[in-house]
Amino acid sequence: MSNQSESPNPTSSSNKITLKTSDNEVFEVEEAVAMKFCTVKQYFDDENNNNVTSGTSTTLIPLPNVESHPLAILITYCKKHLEIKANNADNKKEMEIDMEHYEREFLKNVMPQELTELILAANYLNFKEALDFFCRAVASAIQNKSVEYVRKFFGLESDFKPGEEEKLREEFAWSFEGVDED
Amino acid sequence: MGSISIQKDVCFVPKICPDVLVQILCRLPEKDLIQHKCVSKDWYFLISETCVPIVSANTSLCGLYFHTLALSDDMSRIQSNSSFDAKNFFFAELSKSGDRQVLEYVSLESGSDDIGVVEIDKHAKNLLDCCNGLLLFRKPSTRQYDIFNPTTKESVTIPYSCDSYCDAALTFDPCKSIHFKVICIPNFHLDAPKWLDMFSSETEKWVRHTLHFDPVHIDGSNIIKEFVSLNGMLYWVLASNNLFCIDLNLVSAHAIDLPKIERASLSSSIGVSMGHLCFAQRERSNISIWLLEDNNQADGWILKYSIRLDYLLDCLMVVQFRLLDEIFWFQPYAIHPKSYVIFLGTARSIISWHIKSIQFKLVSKTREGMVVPGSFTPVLTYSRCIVPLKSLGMRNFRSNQL
Repeated sequence: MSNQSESPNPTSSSNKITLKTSDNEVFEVEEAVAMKFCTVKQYFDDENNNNVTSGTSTTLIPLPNVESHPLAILITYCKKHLEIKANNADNKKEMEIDMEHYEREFLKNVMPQELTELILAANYLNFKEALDFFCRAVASAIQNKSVEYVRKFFGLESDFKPGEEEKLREEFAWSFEGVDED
Repeated sequence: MGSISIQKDVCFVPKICPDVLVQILCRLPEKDLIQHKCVSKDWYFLISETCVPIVSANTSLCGLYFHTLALSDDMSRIQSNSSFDAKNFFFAELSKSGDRQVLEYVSLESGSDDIGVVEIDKHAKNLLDCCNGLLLFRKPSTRQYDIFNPTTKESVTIPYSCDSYCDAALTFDPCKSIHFKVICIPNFHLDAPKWLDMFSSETEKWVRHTLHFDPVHIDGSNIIKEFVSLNGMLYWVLASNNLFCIDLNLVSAHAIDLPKIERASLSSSIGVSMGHLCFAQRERSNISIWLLEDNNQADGWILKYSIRLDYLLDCLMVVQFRLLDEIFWFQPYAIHPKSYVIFLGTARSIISWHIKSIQFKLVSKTREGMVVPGSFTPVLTYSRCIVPLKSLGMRNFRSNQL
C-alpha cells in the first residue's frame, strides 16, 4: 500500500522514526504515523528534551511489549487512518463513512486471536483510535448475548457458589429481557 | 452497530487486562453491562465498582418529571387579561392544589431505546425530589419515604424521621458513592433551634444534626421545593431571596444572597449546569442565568447569560408556539445538567431553549383545561441510573462473601 497522505509540514513527513519490537524486528515509520502512538510520542519528546543537540532522525525506540506481527498491522491501520483523514479533511461525514468501510474490511481479515494481540499492542502503544475501534468491535460481538455466550467468548468459568448466580439474576431481572439465546 | 462484527463462536484469548476490559464493557448498552455481572466474581466487581461509575458519569438527560392539574370551572374562566383579584384567586387555588396534581413524565430521548421507557404511577402525588436517577416519594398513609429507581424498578422504603412531616431532599451521586442520603428539612423558624435529619443508606439510620448559622435576615420557609445536590452540598432557595447551602459532610450551613439585576425577581429555578450550580431567573424584562463558582459565596455568582424577555418572546412567536393566550407566567422551569439548555415554561407548555443558538423545541403541551403548575411544583430532570438499589445500597456483597 503506497502512502500518499500529504502532510502540511514537509519536513515532518520526511522524518523517519525507527521502532524496535520485542522480537528484535526494526520498523522504520514516518513521524506522522509514529506520533499517533502516544507511548512513542512521549518517549520521542522526552529524548528530544533531554538531548537537544542529537539529530531526531537517528532515534531508535525500543518497544519491549510489542511483537512485530501486531505492530505491522497497526502501522497499516494507522497509515490508512491518516490517509482517509487527509482525503476527507473538509467532510467529516464522508470520513466516517470511509473509515467504517475500511474497518469492516479490516475485521474480515483479522483472526480472533490476532485481535487480542492487537488490543494489547494498541493499549501499550496508547494508540487511541485503534484501541477504540477494537473495543467497539469486541463490544458489538458480545452485545445482546447471553451470560453463557460471554463466558465462552472470553474463556471464563463461573466462580459463583450454587444459588448465588440465580440470586443475582433475580436481582437484575430487569436487564435480562430480550437476550439472544445463542 | 451491526456493521462491525467479528467471527462468531470463538474462544477469545482471556489475556485482556482489566483496564482494556473496562473500555470494552463501557461500550455495551446499560442492560448488557448489568447482566454481565453474572459472568464471574471478577466481572461483578469490575462492573459494579469501575464500569458503572464511568457509565453513570456519561449518562445524559433522559426526561422531565412534572405535574399537571385539571382546572376547576372557576379557574378555567380566568385568563391573562382577567382582573387582579381573579388572578390572585387563580394562584391561591394553584398553591393548594397539591393533592389533585397528576405526575407526568416526558422523554427527551430520540430513538426507541427500550430502557428509556419510564413507567410511573400517575397518581403518585408525592414526588419530592429526583437525583441522578433516583426518585424520592412520600407515603403519608404509612408515614414512610419511598426511594424508587424507574430504570431497575426497584424501591426501598424508609420511615419518617420525626412525628411531623418535613420537606425532604434526596442526594445520590453514583460516580462517587453507591449510597444515597435523604435529608429531612423542617422550616427554620427564627427563634427555634435549627436542625435537620439525615438518613444514609450506608448506615441505614436517621441522625439529627444541629445547625449553626447566622439567623439574621433568613426566612426559612421555601416557596418552591426545589433541591439541588452537587459535590457534597445541598442547595435550595429561601423565601428571603437567599440560597441556603449545606455541606453534607461537615453538616454545616450558610446562606448567601441570590444575584440580582433588577429589584424584583419574579420566578426562578435552580439546578446544575455543566458541573456548576446554576440559577435561572425571570426578571421584569430579562431572563438571566447565573453560575456559582466553587467558593459558595455570594461573590461567586457569575452572570453567564442574560436575554431581553421581549426579544425571547419574539423568537418564540416566530417558531409559532402561540404563547400569548397562555401567558399567566413565563419562567425558567428546569436546567439541563449536561448542555446549555434551559427549560422554560408557561401555564400550558414546557419549552427547551438552547441558549447560544436561541433554538426552541416544544417539550410538552398540556391538554385543554390542564395546567403545569410549574411556579408551585418543581419540574425535575431525570437521568437514568443503573446502580441496583438494593444489593449495593443496602448491603455489602463483599462482606457477605459472594
